[in-house]
Amino acid sequence: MEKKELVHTIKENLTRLPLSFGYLGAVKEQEENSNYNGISYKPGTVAALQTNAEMVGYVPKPISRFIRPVAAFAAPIPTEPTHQPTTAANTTTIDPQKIFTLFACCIPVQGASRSLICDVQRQHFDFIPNALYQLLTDNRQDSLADILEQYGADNATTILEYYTFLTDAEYGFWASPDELALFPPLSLDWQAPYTVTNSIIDWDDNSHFDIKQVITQLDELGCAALQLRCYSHQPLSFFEDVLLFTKTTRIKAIDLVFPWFQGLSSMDLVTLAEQYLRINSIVVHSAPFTDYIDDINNRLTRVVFTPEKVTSEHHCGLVFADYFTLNMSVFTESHHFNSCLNRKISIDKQGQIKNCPSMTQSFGDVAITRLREVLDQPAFTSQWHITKDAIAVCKDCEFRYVCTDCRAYTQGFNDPLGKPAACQYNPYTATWETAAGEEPAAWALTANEQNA
Amino acid sequence: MEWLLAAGKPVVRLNECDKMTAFTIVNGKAHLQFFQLSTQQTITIDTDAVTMFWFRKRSFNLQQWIGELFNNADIEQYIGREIGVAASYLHYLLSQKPNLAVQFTASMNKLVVNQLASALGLQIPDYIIATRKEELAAFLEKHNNDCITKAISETFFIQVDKGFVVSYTEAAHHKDLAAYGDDTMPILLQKKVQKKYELRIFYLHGTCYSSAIFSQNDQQTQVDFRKYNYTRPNRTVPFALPAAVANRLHLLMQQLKLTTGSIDMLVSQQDEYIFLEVNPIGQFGMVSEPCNYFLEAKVADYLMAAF
Repeated sequence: MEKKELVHTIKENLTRLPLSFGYLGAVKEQEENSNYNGISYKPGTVAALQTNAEMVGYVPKPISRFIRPVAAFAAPIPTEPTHQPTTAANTTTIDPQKIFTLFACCIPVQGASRSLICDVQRQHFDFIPNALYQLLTDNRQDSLADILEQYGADNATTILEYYTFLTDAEYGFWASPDELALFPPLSLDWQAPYTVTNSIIDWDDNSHFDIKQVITQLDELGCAALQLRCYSHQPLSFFEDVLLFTKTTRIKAIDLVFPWFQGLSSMDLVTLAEQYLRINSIVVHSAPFTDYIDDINNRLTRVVFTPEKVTSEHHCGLVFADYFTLNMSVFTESHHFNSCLNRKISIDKQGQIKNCPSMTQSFGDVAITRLREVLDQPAFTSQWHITKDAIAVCKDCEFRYVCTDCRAYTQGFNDPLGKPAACQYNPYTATWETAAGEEPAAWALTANEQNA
Repeated sequence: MEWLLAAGKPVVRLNECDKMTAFTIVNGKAHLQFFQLSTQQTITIDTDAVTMFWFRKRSFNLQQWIGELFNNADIEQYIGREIGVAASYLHYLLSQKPNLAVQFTASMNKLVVNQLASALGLQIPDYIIATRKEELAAFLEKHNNDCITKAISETFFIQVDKGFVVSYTEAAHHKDLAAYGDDTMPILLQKKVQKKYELRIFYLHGTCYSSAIFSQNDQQTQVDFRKYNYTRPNRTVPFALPAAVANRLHLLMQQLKLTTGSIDMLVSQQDEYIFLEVNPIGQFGMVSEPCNYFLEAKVADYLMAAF
């Protein structure tokens, strides 16, 4: 049925229909005006967004009792709060007997010189001083009155500013003492119904193992995500053959990485992605041009052309702010497992089974050894359990649960518990040792990157 | 489903788009054949070989036999009844297996559920269903013109050329009634509760997994949180439901003979727990994901334990 026709029928008969239909007609009219064909639309959304943007400028400053000697809090301290109180909670006076409670999905993470509030629901983080971290953890059961008394009158303004910042950003709310017990913390448990969650298969001109046979084994292990990475030219039919084969497997997301070749256009790959819905991304390296197409199939599927050359497995191990991911799965998994290697099994271009193609240790030739046998070897799975909390420097870093790890290239002569060699962040000074020296001040993923 | 596969249990998922192409019912057993759209393959199911069953929504795709084939409403209705009884028997056969939900309990009369809940001591919002404008107006008056209206049965939801059209719970005011004649279609008005937060509870075999949704801070979601704000989703956090409320919900579910369901409640500004409704085949993803409850694994465990 045509939508217009339906809405017309409803409108024509409004007073003969139940009242609830009357609203249906009205809402739909609004939608038509706004050219919006999906779910209900109300103009309020835009206003809410603006409020959020205004708030980003505010940086909580340290309170005197806790000021740390060094540049404890790297960002400049504003003399005046840059935001305007917006929500009802801020315009009314706070009951001093109430207790500020973080929403369970907003979790503070302490670093050596500053902390983060990680919002796993909205996939965003903000920097906070360690003093505020302490307020949100040690003092989490204290009423506002108790806290103001404890920290003294000279800190009152700053503390109230903190709470305005936190309530404006909707990181928490004011709970009565009775309510406190109703809001348990988020479980940081991580589980997955897959023996292997992700896999990398490398391929070049000299590779001769049976990819389909590997995929069949991965399917048996429940592998959800697969990256097929090629260093040398392969025709599209090579990928189509593999994609067709994955159609009846449990593999849900496929990333293709391969070099550009003469005549390959963005549209060819968009067509491919439309045909094979399991494709999550296609990255074409060594391309003579740059292109980025996303939102294919109305999903997060994307096609990327980059001039960067990926000629071997050594093109990996980068740890950079662009690679930060903040979501429930990554955040919780990083608490218990290695954020790169957990439940990963890879096949390098020679057909060697490894944790990651960049690592040196092989656990057998895929032509001879079954993947399941490798998973039984403690030397293989022990890599899965190296958390950031066990790694030098990383353990003091506020980014430890949003950052990806690398065990292939580490500092200290490839110390198994060394900091990733390519990481340029120093958590003790809160500085990036990059050319630009920049950091993601108010960092948030765009909607399209969020679930990538 | 992935959790069942992880435990080595073969699973077949039937979608409404998977057309039933043949079936045989003989001696209390059924053999079914489908064309699975996603894999483009024909699959067969023997009800005897089915060890557990989960009914999520809708029913078998019977387009093979039902449709406008005869250009005659009477004949088509007759065919519909014929197929309907056979399909209902298939559901009956499957409902005899360990299951999470079956078609027979999939829809509840909300008014009956309301009354049962109230009898168990759960607070329900004041409401009226009437067909006379003056009675509806009087109800609005009594509640300071602060009411909502919603479907008496299920939400109106219809697929159209571009997306879908859906009815939500909406605020109701005097002026909205003005256009109506003295007699109206049956209209449901309900006192609007000034809520602190909404509770969405997934009930599974005696346990309530609860989440609180702070929908009050956002204009868009104030009256009906299903009008999701995707850019700034409502805060949804784990909630420790007081035992007194959980026990009453458990008794209600027992009376309704439900092993599972999604329950909607509100917590009012005065800290009252107000029962709204039970959806026997509700989704649980929106409780499970934000609260990190892993309900998918718990549902799979339940099904496997029953088997």
